[in-house]
Amino acid sequence: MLHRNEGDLFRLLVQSVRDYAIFKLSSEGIVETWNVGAERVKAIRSAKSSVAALDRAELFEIERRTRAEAVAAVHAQDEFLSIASHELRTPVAAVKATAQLANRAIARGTTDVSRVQRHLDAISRAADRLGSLVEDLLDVSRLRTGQLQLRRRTVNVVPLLEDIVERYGAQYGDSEHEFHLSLPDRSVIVEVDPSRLEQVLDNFLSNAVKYSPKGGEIRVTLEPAADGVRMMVTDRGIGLPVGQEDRIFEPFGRASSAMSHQIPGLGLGLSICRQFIEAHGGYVWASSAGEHRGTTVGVWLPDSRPLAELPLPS
Amino acid sequence: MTPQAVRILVIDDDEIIRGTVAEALELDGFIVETARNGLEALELVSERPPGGIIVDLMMPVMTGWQFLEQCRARRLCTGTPTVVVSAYSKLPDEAASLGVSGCIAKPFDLDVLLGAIERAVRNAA
Repeated sequence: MLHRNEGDLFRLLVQSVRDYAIFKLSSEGIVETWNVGAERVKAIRSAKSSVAALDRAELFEIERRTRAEAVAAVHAQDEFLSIASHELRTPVAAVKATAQLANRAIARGTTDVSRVQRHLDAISRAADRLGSLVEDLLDVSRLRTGQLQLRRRTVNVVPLLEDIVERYGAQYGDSEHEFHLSLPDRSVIVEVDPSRLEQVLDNFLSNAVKYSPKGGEIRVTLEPAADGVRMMVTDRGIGLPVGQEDRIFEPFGRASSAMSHQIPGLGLGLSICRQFIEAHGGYVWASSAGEHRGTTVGVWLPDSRPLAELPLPS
Repeated sequence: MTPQAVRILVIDDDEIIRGTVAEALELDGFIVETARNGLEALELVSERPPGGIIVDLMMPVMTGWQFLEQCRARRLCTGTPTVVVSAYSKLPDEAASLGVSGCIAKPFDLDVLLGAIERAVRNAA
């Protein structure tokens, strides 16, 4: 925005997402004075050492770029809110409608114990879905604002994996899924926040169950790898179309195979996992031989080192 | 036309909402068919046009709008009372041309949704 100012000066106001810069220009377009914000904004935008050395064309270029960034940030935020609010409305609508249906059935004298049980079960499932959505959204918010606090400890991941696979085996043992765990015959020590690693593995395993609706073997593998350890979860489910291996780790990124199989999801879980693992100095990946040919998702974490040597989470 | 004679098609990708709305309509004496997305619904309506449609807008495979546009293009369900369920309470301008009689915002009131479809069915009769 260019404002005519007192006397023969013009005021150029550049508003970025977090800062604003004010330059005062003479009628010839020479920068006369500027505020501290101008130095901050300019410092990231230009290699020149002095604000006064900027000419008018450069100032407009700064303004144009800053504005485009602000518009993109607002757009991303709007899209996030729009998707998140739609996803939250669905389980809320399910809870509300089912409770109202139960009341209608009572009012008409058509209710019985099995109907009540069915309605309560639907409400409970919708509430679970709502709860896990809220947790995911809170994690996304913590990651975005840099408020994620990792509580790193020296952890032997062998018993951690044994526990979680046993839990899944107990929960889905009578379904069509069969869990196999393959471990090295020694302790594997890493420096991690155990609750976050567990959250990542839990996400991988629940995806393996969810995306192999016909059942099949789910294999969990822990093995030493170059300078670190590798943990993988392999299922025999719907797989990933070629080229969509990275997409599933993007926020709201879901594979087209998940959509076409009508498997619900917000598409946040794996993007959260990726950020947790990257904050630990590791990385995640996925691979699949194609649709209906299963999926492997994996984590690589660096070998245990003194904490000071580990990269700080950004 | 009495509700007993009317068949309503409920299109929603959420299993709980689909089942709940279907059960409520059945309690009110309607015959109910369900579909998980626009594509499944399109197959159903081309076999046998229903007496009323309740359709969610945001669905995988084929959205509610795409379903309504396909219906219009294939001249299916012309004049069938249709209530749209949406995360947004305002209808876009093209809604009228797609034959939508009402729009209910999520999370909806079951009484309001059922009232809307019953009224629309009555008016069409």
